[in-house]
Amino acid sequence: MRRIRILIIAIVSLQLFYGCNKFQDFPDTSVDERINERMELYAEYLTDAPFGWKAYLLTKSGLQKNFTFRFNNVNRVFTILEDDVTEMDESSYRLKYLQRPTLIFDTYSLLHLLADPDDGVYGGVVAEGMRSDFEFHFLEATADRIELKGIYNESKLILIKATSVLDASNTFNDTDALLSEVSNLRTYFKRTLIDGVEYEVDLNTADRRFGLVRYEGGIAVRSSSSFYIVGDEINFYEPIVLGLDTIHKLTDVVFDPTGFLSAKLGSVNLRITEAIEPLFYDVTVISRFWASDRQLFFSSWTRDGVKDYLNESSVATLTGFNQQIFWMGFNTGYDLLGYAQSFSLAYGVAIGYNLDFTTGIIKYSYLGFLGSMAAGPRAITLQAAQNFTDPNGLYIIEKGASVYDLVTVTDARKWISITPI
Amino acid sequence: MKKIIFKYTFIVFGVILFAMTSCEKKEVLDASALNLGGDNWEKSNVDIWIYDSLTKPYNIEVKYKWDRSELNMNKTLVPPRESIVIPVMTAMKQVWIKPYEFLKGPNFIKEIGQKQFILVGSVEYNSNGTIVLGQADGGRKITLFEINNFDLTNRQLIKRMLKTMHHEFAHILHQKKMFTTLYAQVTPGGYDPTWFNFRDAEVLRLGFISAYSRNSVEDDFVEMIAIMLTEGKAAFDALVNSAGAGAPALRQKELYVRQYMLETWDIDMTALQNQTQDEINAL
Repeated sequence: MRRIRILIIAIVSLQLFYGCNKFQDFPDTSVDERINERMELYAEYLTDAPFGWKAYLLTKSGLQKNFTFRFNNVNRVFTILEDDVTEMDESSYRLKYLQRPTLIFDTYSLLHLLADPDDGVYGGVVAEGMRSDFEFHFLEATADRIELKGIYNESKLILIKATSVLDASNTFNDTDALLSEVSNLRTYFKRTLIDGVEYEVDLNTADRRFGLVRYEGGIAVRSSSSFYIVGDEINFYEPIVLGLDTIHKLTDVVFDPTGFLSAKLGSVNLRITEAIEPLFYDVTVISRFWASDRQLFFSSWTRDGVKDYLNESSVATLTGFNQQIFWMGFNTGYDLLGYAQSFSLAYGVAIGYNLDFTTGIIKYSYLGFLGSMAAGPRAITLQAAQNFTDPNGLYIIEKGASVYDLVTVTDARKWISITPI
Repeated sequence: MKKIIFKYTFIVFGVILFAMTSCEKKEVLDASALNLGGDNWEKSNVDIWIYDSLTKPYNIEVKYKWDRSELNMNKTLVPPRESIVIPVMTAMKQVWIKPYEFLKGPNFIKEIGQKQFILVGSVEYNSNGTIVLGQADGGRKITLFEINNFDLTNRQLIKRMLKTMHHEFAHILHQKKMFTTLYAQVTPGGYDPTWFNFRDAEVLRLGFISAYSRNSVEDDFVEMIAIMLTEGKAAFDALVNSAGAGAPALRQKELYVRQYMLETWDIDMTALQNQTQDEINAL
């Protein structure tokens, strides 16, 4: 018994000494000194990139945009935004410790367009814009890759060090090329088979989102994420969950001329095909969607994956009416596609509705327009309204709380998004 | 007694020795706080211009680089474009500082003017649909919003921004020396927190120079000053003459404004109006 006690005391003592040894690893510098060291290291990472950084931003509103940034050691940053790669602007930045090491783009640049609260600057919501950021905490950083998180809107920004001028410009070229490849699948609905189970593939090039949906007894099991493209890979901001696997990227994406898209999701080979109807259609959605006097925003139409193919965004520029309000039951028998500024409605197109609660399909007919608008933008609004009048109607796809996509039943090649006000 | 004196001398000597030792300790202290960075940067031509044109001559700091701690934490705002800072502050200097300097000499703005400008690129949106264009705090700081929209060719916008500047500076003036309490008695029942439901033209007949002037007595007072200066005497008189039933109240308010400026700051309001108009026209 005594021996056992001695043995226990010996083990405990050994454990204590072992524990003490661990404390010897603690740094002998103060917290502030270590913060300074880390800030200097991050500054070195940012500026030690002669060809700049390939930057992939995801805003809180779900908008994914690509930039390049080149930082110099006198607080200047040179920015290019994918919208116009010929335009580079110069502004200032600094690193500051704001509870965590923080990168602040401290004067206005192309990056700030997305964060501008004036919805006339880059769209989005009045007073919030696209809910983006220009102050970012460092989450992880190496000399080649930095992950940042926006302080105000929690936007995600990933920086990858460019290895050459060509590599930097490929930030935009790679994205265009791969999105073009994916856009060969023209329909809103897409399918694939994994281990004998049929999945609906939500591969949305306009919003840069990927998702897999399967149905178990009519209940959707969904995993989806926004993505950014580096080289020939589609990288997810949040991993896709497939069974027990979490998968971070889609690789080997190639469109086969026979009409399908092949890709690898982790170790799974995907064959994604077009579909003109949903895998499962919830006919009850129509009763949740349509309500008299309900007002929601409607987006521009997408066709074959090309967003705003009618250039509907030009209506806001040309007229100042930067709000598109989908006003259900505006008057007896018709909905109004209203165009407004500061919620002051000045013009709208009336479309007669026909709700079929058995099939869950909504059909529209063109009735005419109310109010006045210059001929050019009016023609665009009338074209947009015509898309509602697909003779076979529109599917209503519920994407979230008061968020819907309307898809043409005839060929599923045109769709529009409806979002809350 | 001698012993007591000796004892006290010893104590005093001890205290002095202790104090000197304490001093010695201070000399070896190394308690300088570490700078965690971000407060210094390579000076640009904008920084140099601000120092030479406003900081050195008028003791005014202009913060144009983003610093969230100076602003409303709950609002979406963006910093100014660097390229717009010098044109904006040149206009502010010309239309705000110069008229006062002309009438009161170089020391007036140095002594009375706020010590800090904060520049913001966008407006600040309120939940009631209104926007904030400027803000004055504690007689020391003025925040100017909407800087990125500055465009010299857009006279209406320029006038609005300059009016904001005069509005906020008038706040600085009354934050230093308050105006008469009689002012609040001119239209006592007209102040209304839902002022934004009315247009400027609608409130003239109620004795208010603008819709926003109904927000509070202080805003009423500084709106009067701002509009008198940015519109000029002739246009202001025309505005009051169109006010119908509200004209007498507006004239009474104008009288209080003129008295305040003359008696408190020794400034002839008509001369200041004329000088401000000259500078606006020269922009």
